[in-house]
Amino acid sequence: MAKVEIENVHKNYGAKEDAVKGASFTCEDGELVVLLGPSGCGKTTTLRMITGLETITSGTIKVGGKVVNDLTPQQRNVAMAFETYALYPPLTVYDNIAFPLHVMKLPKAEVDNKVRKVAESLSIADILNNYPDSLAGGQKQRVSLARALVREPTVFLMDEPLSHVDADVRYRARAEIKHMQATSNATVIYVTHDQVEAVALADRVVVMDLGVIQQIGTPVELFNKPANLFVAGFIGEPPMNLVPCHLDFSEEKMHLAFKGDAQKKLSYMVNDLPSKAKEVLQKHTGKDVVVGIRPQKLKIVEASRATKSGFLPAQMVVHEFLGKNGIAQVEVDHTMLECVTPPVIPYNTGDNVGIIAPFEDLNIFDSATNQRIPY
Amino acid sequence: MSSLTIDRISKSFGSVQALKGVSFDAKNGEFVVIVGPSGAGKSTTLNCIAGVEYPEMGTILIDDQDVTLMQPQDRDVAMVFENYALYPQMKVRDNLAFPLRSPKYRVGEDEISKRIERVSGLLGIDVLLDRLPRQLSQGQRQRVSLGRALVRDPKVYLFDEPISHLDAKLRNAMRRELKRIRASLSQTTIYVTHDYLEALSLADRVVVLFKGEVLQFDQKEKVYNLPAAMEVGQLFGDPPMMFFDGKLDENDNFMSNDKAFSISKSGIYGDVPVGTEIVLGLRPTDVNLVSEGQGQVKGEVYSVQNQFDHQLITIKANDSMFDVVAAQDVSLSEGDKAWVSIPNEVCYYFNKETHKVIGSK
Repeated sequence: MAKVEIENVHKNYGAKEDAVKGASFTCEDGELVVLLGPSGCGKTTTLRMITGLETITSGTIKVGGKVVNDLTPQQRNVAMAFETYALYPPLTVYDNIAFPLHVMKLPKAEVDNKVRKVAESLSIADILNNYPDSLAGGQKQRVSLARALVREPTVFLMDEPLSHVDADVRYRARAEIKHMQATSNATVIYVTHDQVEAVALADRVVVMDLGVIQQIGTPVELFNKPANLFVAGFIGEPPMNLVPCHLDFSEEKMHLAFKGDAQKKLSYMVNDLPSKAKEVLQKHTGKDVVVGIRPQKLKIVEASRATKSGFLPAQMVVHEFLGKNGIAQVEVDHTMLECVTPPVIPYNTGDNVGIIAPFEDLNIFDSATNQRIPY
Repeated sequence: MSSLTIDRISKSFGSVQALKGVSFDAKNGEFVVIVGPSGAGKSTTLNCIAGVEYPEMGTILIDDQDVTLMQPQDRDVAMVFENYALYPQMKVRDNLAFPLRSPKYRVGEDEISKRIERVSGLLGIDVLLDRLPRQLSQGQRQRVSLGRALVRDPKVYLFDEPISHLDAKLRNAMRRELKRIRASLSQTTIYVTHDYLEALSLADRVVVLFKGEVLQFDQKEKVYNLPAAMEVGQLFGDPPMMFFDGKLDENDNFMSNDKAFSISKSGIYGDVPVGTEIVLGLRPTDVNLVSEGQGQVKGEVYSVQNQFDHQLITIKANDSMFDVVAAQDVSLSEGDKAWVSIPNEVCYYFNKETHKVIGSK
């Protein structure tokens, strides 16, 4: 397959604002890149410009090193799988999959060979003689995928292909897509608004908002080191705890004082901080920041177990039993924080507890720019 | 405060039997969640309690009074729908006051102000009281709609999927908020949802409804930890429970039909005849990746999905697919060999025909 390069691409529909404002990213040969963002962020427009269904206002799109700006969708040899399956009801599954190959006028034996191979890989070989009406949603989805795959396109483009799949078969469908991509080594660009789906599938995620790329990174990078407050709030469930604070160094400690109540502060021994972090954060002393910590990283402990660094007394508000785990809401003055916990915990509503926020799990954002302070 | 008893109610729509003898109860102040897939009969059950539908058989008691055939307005229940249907020309304050100004439940204006203050504070909409519905966000409208039910002081609250049409992020946030609100509600509540997380989070007890029948009515911890039927196991868990067909031998060992793996000493010997078709249910969170040569299953990595702070690794062994939740630092990719261990205590066995759980669990 082929590498796709997007260089400073703009799209303007005639409005004052561009729908896509200078998008640049690369999808390597054999990589699965997901474009993720809320509706209206420009992700589908970007995908349609790669397909050729939409013209490019400015910038360059290359497929396999070749500029394709002025090529028709057919000439680009990219395959598109849409949200809807759009299978031909009068044709069997076999004929639906074979259809694009007949259009290409391939010999019958070759068509048969390719159809059976792709059907095997997507576990639909046993339903080749069925008609679309008799299939379950997940099966239709796979037939639709098979029809796109059988052409052996240079690039595979998918626009929310799983949005109609029931939640309980979505894991299976995602596993199929991942397996298909890994075994066929396909180059895939995939659009979704669902962050869970994005991180499940992607080698790298391109997060977009308001036509602008906010961050490009692996799922782990987005989770651990979000580039700005938008990504921090958008990625992760429950969402990252974000607390406006005042950053200040005094008495051998770094303090992150809650904006609502300066008495409530997370403090860390300066000597324990990594030297790079110390150097960078000292330049921000006296400034307003937003402190972010994932609910998965925030720990609840007994009130008496105060530690030197990153400890705060808190009050237990409620705890949800959720089967495999739980979520606790704790209050530090008027700030509500969420922690992912074991399914059952020994604290009840109203109990005094402590929370520990380890320094290495913090993300600190500059309030003026909303960007993460890198250290 | 009131108690509610649903006793063997049945209801048909044409040839479709929507409810087949549904029974459960809610004690004074208890929060009971009815959960099930679409078409299970959840809303029909709720409608029968509200008096919007009438069951053909069975009885409904509120505080030991038979209300089965009583008019809705005489039952003193308050219903919250999925659809918020606020009056667009009325401010939030008047939308909230509306039920309290109706002839049936009229209370004094002083009392109305008091209740609006309490409920709007509880829901965090106290700053929105002078706005019109169109000036509100989706989540805010949802809160107002909840508030309109909460200002009343009925015997029973009925919630029909109040947050299920919200997108995942907002729904999770609203669920956590409902959990907080719940703590200050003392009324008996029946809450319908298809989302097991809402059921586990909010309920005292859970009714699992499937095709018009109650599969399990139990404490929520039991519903999750000791599912009574395959459908219950499947409904409660994310990623969902996996099922494997197999048989038991005379030494109490379970062997999967595709010969991919076996579990020795299942502990259900004697509960079913040897050779009966049974189904093993496993949760992806309960099985573990182990080092080479260990565990019951040897297979090949089929796919790897990232899930924020962990991964979902699918392993193929013969015809069986194992989903395993693994730590983020496990480094496996498609095609790698992998070994899976299945601790005996995480195995759920079900009757293949009846789907009911086997054994003392």
